[in-house]
Amino acid sequence: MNLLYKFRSYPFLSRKIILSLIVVTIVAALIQIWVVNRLSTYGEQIISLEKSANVLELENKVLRNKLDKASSLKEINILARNLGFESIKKIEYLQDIGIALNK
Amino acid sequence: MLRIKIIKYFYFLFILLIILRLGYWQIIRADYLTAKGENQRLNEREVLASRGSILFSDQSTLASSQPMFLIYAQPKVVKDKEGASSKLAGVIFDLKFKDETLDEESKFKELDKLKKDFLDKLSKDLYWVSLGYKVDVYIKDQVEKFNIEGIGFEESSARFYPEGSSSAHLLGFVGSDIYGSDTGYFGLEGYYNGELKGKSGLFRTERDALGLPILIGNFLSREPKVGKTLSLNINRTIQFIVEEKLKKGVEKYGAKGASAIVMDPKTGNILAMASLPSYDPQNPSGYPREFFKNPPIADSYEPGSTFKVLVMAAAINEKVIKEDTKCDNCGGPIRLGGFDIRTWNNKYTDGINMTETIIHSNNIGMVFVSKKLGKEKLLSYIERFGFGKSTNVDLQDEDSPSLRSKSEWKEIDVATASFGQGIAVSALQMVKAVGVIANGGKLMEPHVVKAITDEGKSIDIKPKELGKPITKETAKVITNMMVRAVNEGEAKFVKPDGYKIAGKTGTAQIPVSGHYDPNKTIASFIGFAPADDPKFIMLVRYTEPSSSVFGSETAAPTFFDIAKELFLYYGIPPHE
Repeated sequence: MNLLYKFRSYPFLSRKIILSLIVVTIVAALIQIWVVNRLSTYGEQIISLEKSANVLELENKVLRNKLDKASSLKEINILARNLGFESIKKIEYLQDIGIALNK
Repeated sequence: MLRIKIIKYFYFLFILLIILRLGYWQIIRADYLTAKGENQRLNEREVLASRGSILFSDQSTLASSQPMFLIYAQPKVVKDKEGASSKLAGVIFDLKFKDETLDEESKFKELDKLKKDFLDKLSKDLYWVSLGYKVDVYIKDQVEKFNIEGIGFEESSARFYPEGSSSAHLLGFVGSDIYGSDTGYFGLEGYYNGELKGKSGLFRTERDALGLPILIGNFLSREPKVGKTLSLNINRTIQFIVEEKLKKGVEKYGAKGASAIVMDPKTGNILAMASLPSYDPQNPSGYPREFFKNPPIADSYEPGSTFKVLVMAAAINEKVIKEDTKCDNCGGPIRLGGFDIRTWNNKYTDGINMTETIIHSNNIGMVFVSKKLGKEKLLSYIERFGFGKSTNVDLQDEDSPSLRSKSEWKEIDVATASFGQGIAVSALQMVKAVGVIANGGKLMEPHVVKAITDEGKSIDIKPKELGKPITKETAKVITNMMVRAVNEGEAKFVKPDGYKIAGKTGTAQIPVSGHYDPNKTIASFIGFAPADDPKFIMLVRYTEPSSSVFGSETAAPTFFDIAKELFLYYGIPPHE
């Protein structure tokens, strides 16, 4: 009652408040529409990001497989032979001669 | 009034019908309609879990997963079927014949055949046809480049073996079960299938009319659980050496098959296990089923003279003989139960001692030992060494031969068992048992897997001692006998100089139709080194070698060849 009385006493103020409320409501509604619209149409971007993630993940798997293959003993053995390496035939072991050696 | 009443009744009947119809849709058909609505709105897909990796002891990869694809077509969407078939045929042709040079006519024929196959599939009155299953990423990329409308891809995975067919028997392979899901068969893949297979995930989102995800809609994501990783005790260098040497040995000795096991006697950790003939785990369907079983654990054989060290160990442990006890009936063949027992070379020395019995692999000397030991004690020791039961190795398809019941053992059976005939064992059982001598009398459980890792948490499989069949002193005595057997026995010429190796040859004839075939043998050599502080125990076995039937001329040279490489690998210098 007190508030109504105040509004009646200051008609200019009451109109201002009502107008502000209407403007705020409209702006909020527009923001809501914009946000919902943006969020619901982000799908396309999500799909695009999903695809990129899948491609990168796939590439990662393929690279990991390539790395495993390149570091396999089977491959290293072939490479070593092609480069002219041979297995050791005669090994000379150093005997303990009982003399302390300087580093 | 009547008309008003009639309208009222109609009105209520109409309302009732609406209520009933609504009730039908809302209650009776509720689940169906909810599901139909969700199908339109929700997009749900299963995310397959990658199978766990299998790693060597140095954490390098033995088996992992590689991406594979299902290529499919929607024939009703594909417009230019002829063109699409030609392009697909070209890709497959390049891959299929990349290592072959074909003349123009054959090339044309092959291409035409492939093109017709694809055209047949694309011309079917179907909405969906499969064009290729488990196709690798290279082919997928080639096909994708054509950008053919109506051709799609679905990702799956397959096993990847960087070392090729290495360790095939040990690994087993991955195939499909009755539901079409990947399942492990044989070896580690079979034994640890539950741990390796992982758990599929689920991804569910709400979609708009265009099929695009709605960010503010319902969203459910259950990540797939990748299978556990197995870290093996298998040392890839030792495995590689063993496989290479076995391949050479099979060619050199003209054997039907070969196998070898290398184990750390102190822990029971299997360092290498290989068999020939082998198969490609990537393509198991190209091999007969007999190839899949792992001979060291699934095949039983008569161990022959390699068994002598165990019977001798039992007799010395029971103090019924000593290493210098002389055999008082070794001057010639002996007759037992209607059978003549002879030495392998038909040479006899009366008064031969027990060490010489092992050095010269004397069957008559062993019959003397078995008589001293007696049936009860012999059978008790055979069981204590782990024969007649599973080794509990963590591999699928172990088939441990059972022992006959005590009442079935006759005098002749006890006598022949003393030199390893008439008793069936598996190669792994032999390694486990002789490992007792190498490990100061302690029997260890063999293990292939060192640790199982799940999401960063690792469970270590610790060495397990199963018992102590013989004392440390007995083990030492038998080790010395085995060292002398290597230095002075039939295989002394192939032994690497300067190293103290304990070993024993074995040549067991193969029973065929109730008798032993003298030309068909299983030649083996079992030993450990360095004898005083063994780093490894190894068994090498050839099935039906044709260049020589004797273990000393086939299995022993291969054993020493591998041992030389292992000394180098471990950095063990010669002691002399």
